[in-house]
Amino acid sequence: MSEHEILTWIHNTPLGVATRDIIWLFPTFETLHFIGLCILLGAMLIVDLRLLGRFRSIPPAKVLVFSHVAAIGLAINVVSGVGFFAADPFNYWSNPAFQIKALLLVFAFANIAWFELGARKRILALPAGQDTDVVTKVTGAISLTLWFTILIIGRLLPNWEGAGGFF
Amino acid sequence: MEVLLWLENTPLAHWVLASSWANPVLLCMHAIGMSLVVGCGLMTSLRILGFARFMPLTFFRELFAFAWTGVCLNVSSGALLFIADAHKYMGNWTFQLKIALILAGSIATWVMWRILAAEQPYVAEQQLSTRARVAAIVTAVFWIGAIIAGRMIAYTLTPGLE
Repeated sequence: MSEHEILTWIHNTPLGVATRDIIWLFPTFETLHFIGLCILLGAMLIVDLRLLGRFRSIPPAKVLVFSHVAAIGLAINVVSGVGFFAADPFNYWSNPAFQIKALLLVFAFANIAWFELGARKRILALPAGQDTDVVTKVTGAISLTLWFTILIIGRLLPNWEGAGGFF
Repeated sequence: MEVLLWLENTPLAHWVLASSWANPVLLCMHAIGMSLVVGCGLMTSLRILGFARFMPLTFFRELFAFAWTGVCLNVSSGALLFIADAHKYMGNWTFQLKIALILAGSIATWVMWRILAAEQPYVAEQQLSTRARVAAIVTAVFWIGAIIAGRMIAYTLTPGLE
C-alpha cells in the first residue's frame, strides 16, 4: 500500500467519516484533548518532581500511582488525537508541527518503556527520605521537558497547517 | 464601551494583531498555564477525594508555585489576546461564561483551601471532611467547565482575528 492509499483508507474509516460529519464531534475531541493534557501533565508533574528528588519523605514506589492517572490522561488524548487525524489525515501528515509532535511522542513512549523496563525497579527499591540518583533525575527531567514540548508543538499545529512537511 | 475601544487602540493591542508570532506564542503560554492551574487543581481534588492517601496535603501546597506560575501565564497571555479584539470577546457569551467559570474556580479553590486549613495538620492517611470533598468536586467541575467554555470561544467568535 502506498502512503496515499493508507491515508485515503484512514480518511474513509468510520471514525474519520464521523469526526467530519457529526458537527459537534471534532470540538468535543478538542475539549477532551485539553482536559486529558491537564490530567496527564498534572500527574506527570508529581511523578517527575519525585524523580527529580522533591517530596523525599514519600517512597517513590507510592508516588508512582500517579503514573496510572497520567495513563488515563494519555488514553483520552490518544483517542481524541486519533480522531483528529482520521478526520483530515492528509493535512496532518504534511504538517511539520505534526511530524515533530509525532517524533517527540515516540521519544516520550521510549522514555516510558525505558522507565518500565529498567529504571522502575531501581526507583521502587529507593526508600523514603532519600534523594534520587542522577540517572533517575535525568529521566524525570526528560519526561517533563518532553510532555511540555509536546503541548507547545500541539498548540502550534494549526499555524503550520499547509506549510509542507519535512519529508 | 469606550474602555474597550481604548484597549483595542493601545500600541500593545496593535502589536498583538500585527505580529505574526504574537498570537501563536500567546496561545502556547495559555495552554501551558492551563495545564499547570488545572493539572495541579485536579490532582489536589483527587487527593482530597481519597486517592493517594499516603500524600500529606503539604505536598499539594508545594504545587502552589506551579499553579501560580500558570495563573501568571494565563492572566498575562489572556489579557493580551483580549485587548487585541476586546469588543468581539466582550460580546461573546462563551467568553463571558469562561470568565465567570474561572472566577468561580478561583473562589472555589480559595474556599477549598480555607476548609482544608481548619483540618491541619496535613498528615499522611488523613481523611478529609465531607465539606472538603464537596469543595474538591465543585472546584474540579468549575475548572473543566472553564476549559469547555474556552474551547467553545473558537467556534462562536465571529471571524476576524483568526
